[in-house]
Amino acid sequence: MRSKSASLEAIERVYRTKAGGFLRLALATTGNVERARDALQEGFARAIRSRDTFRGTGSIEAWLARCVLNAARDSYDPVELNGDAESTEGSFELSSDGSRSIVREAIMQLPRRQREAVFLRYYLDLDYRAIGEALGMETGTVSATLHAAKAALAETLQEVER
Amino acid sequence: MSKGLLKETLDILAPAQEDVPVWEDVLARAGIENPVPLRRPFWKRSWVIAIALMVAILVPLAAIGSEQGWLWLMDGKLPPGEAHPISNVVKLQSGYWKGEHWRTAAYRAFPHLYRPDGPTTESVCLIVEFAPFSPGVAQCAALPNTHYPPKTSGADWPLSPSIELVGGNPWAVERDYSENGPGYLIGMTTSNVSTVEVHLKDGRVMDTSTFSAPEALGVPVNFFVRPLPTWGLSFHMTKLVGLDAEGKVVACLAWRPESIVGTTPTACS
Repeated sequence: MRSKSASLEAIERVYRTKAGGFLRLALATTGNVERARDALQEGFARAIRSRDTFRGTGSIEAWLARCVLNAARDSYDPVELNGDAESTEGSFELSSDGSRSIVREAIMQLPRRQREAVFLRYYLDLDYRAIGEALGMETGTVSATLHAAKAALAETLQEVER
Repeated sequence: MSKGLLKETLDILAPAQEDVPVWEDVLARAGIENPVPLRRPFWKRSWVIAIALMVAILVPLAAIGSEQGWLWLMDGKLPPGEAHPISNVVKLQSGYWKGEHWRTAAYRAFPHLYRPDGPTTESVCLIVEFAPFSPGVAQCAALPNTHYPPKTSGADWPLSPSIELVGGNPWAVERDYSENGPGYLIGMTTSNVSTVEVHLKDGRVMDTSTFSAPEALGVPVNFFVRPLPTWGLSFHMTKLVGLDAEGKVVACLAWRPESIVGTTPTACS
């Protein structure tokens, strides 16, 4: 049985068990380690402040994921994500073969919904229903969104390999 | 696209991070506290009584030992005497408090810094720095109940606490935001302490989880770092209580009168 609001204890429990996954979600979204850490903390802090607004009809993890995503989007820097990341302290470091830059480009070419659905699925292991709650889309649409994202990503990466 | 390739792609995009920020920072940003009930079940309170009886025997020793030089830790001055690091500086934790990037590190030093005229013993020095990370002042203390490496075996320890407040800037709380960054407390305790409670004069209790010293430091102690919320009130700490994993009180240090500034801590009685 779900509670009607998110208790502080419930939020803390999620943080203590899954902060690493949420941090990766924020890192993938912001492209910068320090911004990701800030987004993680700010997202959970916002969730605490507005925990009375959690209606309890869905997954608390999905609701928290939405809070962290919103915080990460607030610190989103398209310039940094699309090319200047290497020059920013704390940002992604390029691997020796430059593969990280290629991967980042491929991911960032995805539509935002597809990109975030992939992040939620992989970094937080959310099921389709929870992903739908976090992104405000129907559960039935999530599967198609993920499929489209994988297909588009595969196509981009194969083009790079050629 | 294979599942393996997607996994590899996403691992490259956002690799797992070893260093995750602390929950207490979330609480501080949210502007709330993490209340801990003061009333405990009887069996837990009986432990308090048992511990109190034990430490009562040790109070005279603690008083003698703590008479000199403890408060330099709190006023930011360098300690008398020289510190000789005998280990590498080991990174502990980092994170954000109220938007300020901080990091902590530790090293072992010899002799015991806050008692240069006392027994030659080791201490553990902690450094807290705020971005842009100008060199921080190391604050040092020792846990007599901890088995340090062979160099100090047989040392004559004057104190016997199992928990120490090593440093902090509690004045930041009074002034909301001092030039020293957000308020915080940092300390160390024995390895069986999993949670540290910070008791305040007004009855509030803050708690924080401890974390183990990195193996590279070579000392089996736990550390705790606790950002302090902004209350707009004077910060009056009465005691630090260390709880083990089952919630039993296994360490305690008290200040009398009930304030950090100008008083000397003793083991709880």
